Amino acid sequence: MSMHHLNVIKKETFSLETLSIGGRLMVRFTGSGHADAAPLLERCLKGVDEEAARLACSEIVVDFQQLYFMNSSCLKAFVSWIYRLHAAAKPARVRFMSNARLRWQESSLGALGRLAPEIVTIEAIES
Amino acid sequence: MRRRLQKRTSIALLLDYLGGDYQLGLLQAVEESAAEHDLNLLVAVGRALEAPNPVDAAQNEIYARVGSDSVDGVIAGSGCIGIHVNTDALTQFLGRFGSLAKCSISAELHGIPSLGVSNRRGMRAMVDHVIVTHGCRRIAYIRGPMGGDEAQARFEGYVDALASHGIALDPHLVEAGDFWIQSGAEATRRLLDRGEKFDALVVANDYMALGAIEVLHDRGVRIPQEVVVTGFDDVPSARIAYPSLSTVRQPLSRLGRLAVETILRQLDGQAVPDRVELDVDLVARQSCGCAYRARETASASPPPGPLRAARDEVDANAVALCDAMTHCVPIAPAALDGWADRMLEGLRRELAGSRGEFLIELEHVLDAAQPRADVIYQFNAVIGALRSHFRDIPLDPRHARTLDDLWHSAVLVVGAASNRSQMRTAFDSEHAQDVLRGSVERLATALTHPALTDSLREVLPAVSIRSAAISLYEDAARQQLRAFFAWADGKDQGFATNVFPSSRVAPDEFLQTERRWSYFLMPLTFGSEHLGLALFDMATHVSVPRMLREQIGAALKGAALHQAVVQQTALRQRAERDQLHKEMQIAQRIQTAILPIDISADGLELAALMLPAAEVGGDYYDVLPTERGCLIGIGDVTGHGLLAGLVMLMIQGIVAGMVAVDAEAAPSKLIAALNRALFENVRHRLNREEHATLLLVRYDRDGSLVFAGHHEEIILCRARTARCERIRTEGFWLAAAPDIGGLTTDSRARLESGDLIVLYTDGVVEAMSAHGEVFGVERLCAVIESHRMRPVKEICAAVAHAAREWSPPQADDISVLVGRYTPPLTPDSLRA
Repeated sequence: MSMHHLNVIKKETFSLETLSIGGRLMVRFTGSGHADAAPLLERCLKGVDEEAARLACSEIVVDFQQLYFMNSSCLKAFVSWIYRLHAAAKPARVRFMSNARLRWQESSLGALGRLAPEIVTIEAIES
Repeated sequence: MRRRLQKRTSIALLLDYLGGDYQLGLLQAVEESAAEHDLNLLVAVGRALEAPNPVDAAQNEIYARVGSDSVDGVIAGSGCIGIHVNTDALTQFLGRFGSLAKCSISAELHGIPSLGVSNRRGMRAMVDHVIVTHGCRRIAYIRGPMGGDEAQARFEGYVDALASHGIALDPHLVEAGDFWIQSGAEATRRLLDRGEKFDALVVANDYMALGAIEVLHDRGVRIPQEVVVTGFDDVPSARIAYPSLSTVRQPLSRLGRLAVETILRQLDGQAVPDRVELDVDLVARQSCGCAYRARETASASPPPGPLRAARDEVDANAVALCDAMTHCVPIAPAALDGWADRMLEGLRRELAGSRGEFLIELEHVLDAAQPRADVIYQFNAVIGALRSHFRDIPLDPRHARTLDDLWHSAVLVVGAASNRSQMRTAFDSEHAQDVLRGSVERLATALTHPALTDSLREVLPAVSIRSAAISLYEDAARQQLRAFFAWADGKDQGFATNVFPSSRVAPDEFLQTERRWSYFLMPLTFGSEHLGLALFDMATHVSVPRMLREQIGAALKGAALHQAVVQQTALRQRAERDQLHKEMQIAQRIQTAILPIDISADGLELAALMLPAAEVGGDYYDVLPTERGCLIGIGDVTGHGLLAGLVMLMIQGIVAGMVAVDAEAAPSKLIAALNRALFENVRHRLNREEHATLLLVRYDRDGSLVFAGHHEEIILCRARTARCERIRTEGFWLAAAPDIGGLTTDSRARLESGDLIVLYTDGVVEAMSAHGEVFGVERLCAVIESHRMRPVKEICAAVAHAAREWSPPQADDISVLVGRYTPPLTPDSLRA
C-alpha cells in the first residue's frame, strides 16, 4: 500500500490534509470550520474531486473525528460537494468518519447521508 | 540677482548624450580644466534641441533646470545639442540663461562668446586632399542635418573644393544624414541603389562615415581601392575602424579648456572675443589610402646603425624639440610629468647606438597615460612632430631611412597602447553594465519608495558611485522638488531640506560641500513623463549613470503605478464594502420587516425575537394562525447577505401562501412542496447553491405538536420536571436536493400544562467564545431551566443575552421563539 501526501491547507483554526492510500483518498479535517473557512473549503473539495478522478479512487474517506465544529456555510460546501459527486457518471463512495461525542456531526452528517444514501456512509467512532 | 549656493565657482556643461566620442571628448576636456581651476562642474545631459522624438524632447527640460541658483556659467555643446536647429534658435536658447557667463562650443552665436573650428576650411582641405593626393574626381558627399550651421559650413567647404578644381557639383552625389551612424549607412545605400558612380565618399562627420564603411563592406566595395572614404571630427572610433578612417581632427581638448577659460574671464569681468576659431588637422589614415603608402616606405628601410648627426641635433635643439612635443599633448595627466624630457633622453640613447631605448621610454610614458585613450592617441602627433623636425635635417640617406623606421615603430607602439586602452575602456564599460544588469531586477521589483531606496543603497556602491542625489517633482508645474534619496561619500544622507525650488537641482546640503564636485545632472523620465532629477558623480564609467537614470525612472514609475493600483484597489474595496453595507441594510430591513407582529395562539403564550448580525445571516421565523392553533416556522438560510435574505423571503412567502390555501396541511407535505419551489428558484433560476434549514411545527390547542424538517433540536422544558427535553429533527435541508419528500416525515410531541417550547437558530448554540468554545445546547438548556418561571418574553431575552455575552461580537443572527402552553379549561381543570 502506498501513501502519498497530496496537499495540506491550514488556516488559523482549521486544517485539511489529503492523503492517498492505495486506491482510496483520505481527507482529514481538524479544528473548527468557521464561516471564513468556507471559500477555502469549497476550493479544497473541488481539488479533492480532481485528485479522486486522477487517482481513479473508488472511495473517499472523510475523517471528521477531530473536526470540532462546522459552521452552516462550511456545511453548505459539503452539501454541494455530495450533490456534485452524486451527479457524476461513476461517483466515488464517500465514507464519513464522525466523532460520536459531537452531536452536531450526528445531525449534520445524518442529513448528508440522506442526501445521497447510495454513495454516502457514516461511521461514528467512539473515542 | 545671482544667488550663489557655494563659495566655489560652479559651471555647467550642456550635452545631448552621455556616450558619443565627441561629447565624451568635450566632457573630459572641460572636467580636466574645471579641476585645474578648482571649479564645480554640473554636466546637464538632455537631448538635441527640437529633437523630433517626444521622449527625447522630454529630456531637454533638464536644460531649464540649469540657472543662477546652481551655477555661475554655462558652456553649451552647441555642436551636439544644436544639430537640429539654426543659430537663431540656439542664440534664443542660450539667452534663457540670462546674466550667466556663457560660451558656445562650435556654433557661432550673436552676442554669445563662441569657440569653434573652421568647418568650412577643414572640409575644403579634406576634399582637396582627396582630389590632389588620390586623384578622385567623382566625389559623393553625405551632409549633416539641414538647418544646422555646422553641417552647412562643412557642405560649403566641399562645394568650394570642387569649384577650385573645376569639378561641377553633381546634386545626385549629395545625400543628407543627421550625423548619426545609421543615417550614414542609409545615405550610402541610397547612393549605391541608384547606381551612382563615385570614387570618393566624403562624409560630414565620422559617425556617418563609419556607417558608410559598413555598407560599402557589405556591398563588396573595396576601401580605398575602389572608393576613398573620409570623415570629420576624429572621434576615437575612427582610429579603430577597419580601415582606419581618414578624417579632420577637431581639437576637443583645446576647445574644452578654452571654453572654461572663456567663462572664467567673463566672471572676472574681462572682455572675451566673440569668436575664436581653432585650426583643424587633416589626419590621413587607411580609408583614403595614405597609411598604406607610409607602411610601404617604412618596410623598405635598411637595418639601423649609429646616428651621430641626429643625436647632435637632439643635443643642440632639446628645448625646441621638447616644446614641439609638449604642444601635441596640451593637457597631460599629472602622472606624465617630465614625459617629453624622458622621451628625448631615450631618443638620445637610441641615436647613440643603444637600440630600443627610445621605444622602451615611449612604452613607459604611454603606460603612465593609461587608460586615457585620448591622451595616448596624441602621441601620434608627438611622433609626427619628431618626424617633421628630422625630415629637415641633412642626414645620410641610410640614416634617414633608419630614423623613418624608428618613427614607424613608434607609431605602432602608440597604436598598440591605444588598442590596450580601448580594450580596457570596453572592459570597464562591459563590467559596469554587467553589474547594472544584475541590479535591474532589484530596481525593477522595488515597488515602493522605501524598497527603491533600499535597492539604491545596494546598487550604487556596486557600480562605484559614491555620491548621488535623487529628487522628485512635487508639483505639476515642476517648480518644486522633494528630496527622495541622497547618497554622499558612500553613505545615506538625511537632509533637513525636503522641498526646494527645482532650480537648485538638489538639496542645498548636498551641493554645499567643502570639496570640489562634478556631477551629471540627468532628468528622471518615463516616456515623456517628467518624474524628477538625478545627480551622479563622475567616478564611474559614463554608461552607468546613463543606464541607471533609465532604470530609476522605470522603477519610480513602477512604484507609482503600484501605489495607484493599491489606492484604486482600496477605493474599489471601500466601494464594495459600501455596496455590501447598503445590501446589508436592505437585507436587514427585509428580514425584520417580514417578521410577524402578532404571534399569539390560543393556549400558547408566545414571544420571539431576532437579533440580526451585522452581516445578515438569513434567519427566519414565523407564526401563522390556523383554525386549531398555529403553524410555527423557524429556519436559517446558509450564507450571509442580501441573497440569504432573499431566500428567506421566498421561504416565508411560499409557506404563508401554502398555509393560506390549506391551513391544515401536514408539515412534511408543506416542506416537500416548499423544497421543490425553492430548489427550482435557487439552483436553476438564481444558479446558486444556497440551502436552508427549516422546521415547521403545527401546534394544536390540545397541546399536540406535529413537526417536520431539518433544523436545530426542539427544546421542551417540562413544567413537571423543570428539565429540558431535546428532540432531534430528522429531515433534510431545503434546496439541496430536488425532491426531499421521501426524506421528510412528520414527528409528534405533546405539550403539558406549563411546558415551554423553545425554538432557536444556530446563532444561539454556535455562538463561539474567544477560546473557540461553542455556546452549545447544554448551556441553552441551563438558561431556559433557570428562567423557566419567567414570562416568555423574558426567557427569550435571557437566551439571546446569554448567547451574545458568550460571543462578542455577534457573528450570526440570533433568533429565539418561546411558547408556554396553557391547556384549555375543562370541568376537571376547574374542579382542580
